[in-house]
Amino acid sequence: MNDILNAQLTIPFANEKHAKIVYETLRVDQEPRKNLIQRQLSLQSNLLIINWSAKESRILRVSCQSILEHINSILNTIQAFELD
Amino acid sequence: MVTIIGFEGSANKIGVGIIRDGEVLANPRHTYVTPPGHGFMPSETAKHHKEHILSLTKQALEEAKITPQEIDAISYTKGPGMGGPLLTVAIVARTLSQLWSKPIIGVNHCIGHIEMGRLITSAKNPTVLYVSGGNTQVISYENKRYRIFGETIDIAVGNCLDRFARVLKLSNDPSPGYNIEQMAKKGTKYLELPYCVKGMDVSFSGLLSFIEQKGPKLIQEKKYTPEDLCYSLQETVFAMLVEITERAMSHCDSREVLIVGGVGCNLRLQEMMKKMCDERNAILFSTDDRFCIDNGAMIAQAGYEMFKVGMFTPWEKTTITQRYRTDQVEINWRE
Repeated sequence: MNDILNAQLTIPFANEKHAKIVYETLRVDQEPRKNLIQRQLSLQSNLLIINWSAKESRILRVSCQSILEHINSILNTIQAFELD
Repeated sequence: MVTIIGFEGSANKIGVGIIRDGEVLANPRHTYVTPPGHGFMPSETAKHHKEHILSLTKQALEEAKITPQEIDAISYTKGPGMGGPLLTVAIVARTLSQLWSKPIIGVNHCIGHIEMGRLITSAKNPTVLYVSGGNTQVISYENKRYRIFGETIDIAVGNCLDRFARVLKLSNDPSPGYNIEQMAKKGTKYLELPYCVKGMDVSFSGLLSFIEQKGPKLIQEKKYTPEDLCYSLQETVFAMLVEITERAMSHCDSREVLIVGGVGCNLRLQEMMKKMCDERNAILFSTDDRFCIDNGAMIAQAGYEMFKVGMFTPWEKTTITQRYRTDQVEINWRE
């Protein structure tokens, strides 16, 4: 249980603008349990890179899943309301 | 001309409202209705909001007949409320703020209720009774704050009503409170329930435990009907609310009462409050279900007031918070 679990996710977006919007939207929120999990976001042109290190697999799984759901929600919003 | 779009999703209602200089241009909402006997849980509620928020936004823009370019700012409920549902809405608000290049304003949900009530009723400086599923507070404005004079020390009055509705397996459509109100009209026999006012504060949890435990048995033994119990419950909890409101009015020498929040559209509560107001030569202000029950326009209206005094939310602060007291917000838009 004392081992640290790490995960990395690299997500490509259609363009840099979309990647920036996703990054800016997600970076505001802190993980609710900072002592058990840490999350870092970074942006490389159209790529969003998320790094996690967690003390428990369950917390890591919940965080990964919620981030993916939020990204889905952001992309749906972009699709519906991006101005030309 | 200032146009604000507001997003509300702190509990089981998701609403998008558009306000332009005090006029409600659009205010569609959708309620997450659970089966009888069940409350709403955070993750399912968040999912519900996610499914409806974009179509409601489209609907609001269409009804208001405006384009996103005409909007001056985006406001959203920062708290208090359930974390998951709040976050779902905040994420869409942040995304739209970037897509449309508009400033963003995080609104205290309770302040939204008060400002919407003031707008609709034109009450000048009322003593406010804010009663809903999550909150029960008596509030009075003084020196740049909405000050909490009294509040529940455990559960909200709406939560007490909702949970008794679950015991009776009443429908949650349109809301458990509405169905209790309809049943109560047919009640005749009063059951004495624990009446718990502590100074300026109220407590409902003991009363709820009492009626949860005794209620089903009394119905089974045919001593009381479910209608009688709904009637007794309403009379007792509303009397408590009227009592603390009256005490706050007397402290503040106030001649106006404004009822806001979801329980505020209960006509029996309004009737009891009216009686007290008449005796004190005061005026009662209340609104109907369109504006009492959580909606997007109330968040837009509070956002409108904040916009006019430049209270924008810095990007790093566009978070959500489950706990956010009414008196934490500086009310720079009032004298």
